[in-house]
Amino acid sequence: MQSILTLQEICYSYHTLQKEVPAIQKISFDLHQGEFLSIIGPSGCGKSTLLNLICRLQKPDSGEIFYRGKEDIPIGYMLQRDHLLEWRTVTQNVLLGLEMQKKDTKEAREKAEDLLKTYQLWEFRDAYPRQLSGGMRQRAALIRTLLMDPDLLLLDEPFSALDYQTRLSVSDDIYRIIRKEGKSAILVTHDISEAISMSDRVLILSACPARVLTCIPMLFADRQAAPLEKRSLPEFNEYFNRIWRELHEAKQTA
Amino acid sequence: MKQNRPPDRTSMTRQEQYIYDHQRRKRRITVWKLAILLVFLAQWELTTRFDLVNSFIFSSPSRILNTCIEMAQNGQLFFHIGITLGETLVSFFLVTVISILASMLLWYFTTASEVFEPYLVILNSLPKSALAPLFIVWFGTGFKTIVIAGMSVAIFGSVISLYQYFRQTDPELIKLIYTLGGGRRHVLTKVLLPGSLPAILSGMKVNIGLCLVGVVIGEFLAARQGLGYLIIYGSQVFKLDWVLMSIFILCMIAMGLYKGVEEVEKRYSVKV
Repeated sequence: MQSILTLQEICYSYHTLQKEVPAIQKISFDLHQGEFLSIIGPSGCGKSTLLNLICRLQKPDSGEIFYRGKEDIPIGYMLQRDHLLEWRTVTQNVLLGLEMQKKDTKEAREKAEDLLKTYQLWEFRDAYPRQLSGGMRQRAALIRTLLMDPDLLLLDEPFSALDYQTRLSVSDDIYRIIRKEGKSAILVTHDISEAISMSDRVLILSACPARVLTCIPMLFADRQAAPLEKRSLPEFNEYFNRIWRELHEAKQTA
Repeated sequence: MKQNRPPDRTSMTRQEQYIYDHQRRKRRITVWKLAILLVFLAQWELTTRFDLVNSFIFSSPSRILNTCIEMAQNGQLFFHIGITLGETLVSFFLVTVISILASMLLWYFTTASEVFEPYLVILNSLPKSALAPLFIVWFGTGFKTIVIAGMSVAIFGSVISLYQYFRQTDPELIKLIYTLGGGRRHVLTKVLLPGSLPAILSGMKVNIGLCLVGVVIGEFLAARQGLGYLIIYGSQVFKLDWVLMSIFILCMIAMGLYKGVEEVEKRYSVKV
């Protein structure tokens, strides 16, 4: 399988006037085309920094990142909160990225309409964000990201601001949307269940500075199962215990 | 008037009681508001009528009213009001535009803003009336000087507070713009400006009052027309009817301008 993203021995440190804080230490991994990878690790271990590096918002101190051989691929980034702009309608919000890149064409608008219809936001296209539920807001944020037609999606705990009920159904929704659109995705989370149920592989990071502890493929007998269904499959508990043990041991040795 | 028979509060439902109490409280406040004004005017009129205080020095509501009518008839009144109002509105407009532009530039050039910060703070806390004599020397005694005096009171505070507001914008929101392929320019036009509309509008409410203060100070020192001139001139020739009339009119102008900006604010903040 072709890999869409390759990280080679990435290092990154933060600088303050007092000291240098290493955040990421020699992280390497591959992401295959169409693969869903979860990154899990203790909070504050540099997961978000890793996404910033992949998204080219920051530059690594050393090491290299390759994008499917090319220099540049479109990357979509979903932040922890939806950050819909309160003074724009849903339609205006989802078109924000295209508007800034001057790609606000008729075709793009049609695509936006299609996506809004497909993901049950069509009735709310002229509503303002405060009139939407948390799940709807998150879907609108995803459409905003998808409209940029990214090859790779980065999800930085995009469900953490939602209540548990909404969280389960929204992650189901988002999972389906990403699979349907055939995107590759990296999900950063500290929710073990979420990582197992949504992804093909789970990458476990150590506490700061982040290193790769291990990478576990999630092999379910029923490959078509939705995230919510996976939670009740027998493999789920095995994986849960295994990941929990890894994280726990890492904490003890640290 | 339905006050002939007060409604029986005990026979109302809870909701009706709540509304009744609310309205009664509101009425009481309105009555008191008006009563204070009327009592003040009445005692002023009466004490001057009965020579308890000297109406030459303290004037009186009826004398003010007569002066008002007299000056309205020969057109002087509207001339002076027009001048002061015009100068205030021009300086207010310039303050609004310049402070938005300046705070945008400060945000855009981070290093420059840090360099300028102490100067802005000093200029903001400097009593602007101290500058007025300088303005006269530099710009003469006319419209331009008065407008600059009006602006000088409001502009620095306005720039500082708007720039601070820009800086407090959620950094995640700025990151969002970058992740969607936008640049620094887009942060400004898509997030900062529309997001700070409520702050700009509430700043405008403060500024309109400050501009009026500055304009009147300017007129005190450097004008041959306007309400500030009327006050100074009136006090010099002991026409205290003029002085007090002008003060009353200034009260009304201040209130009118504030209400005007408040209307604009209401209209635009509904959309946000």
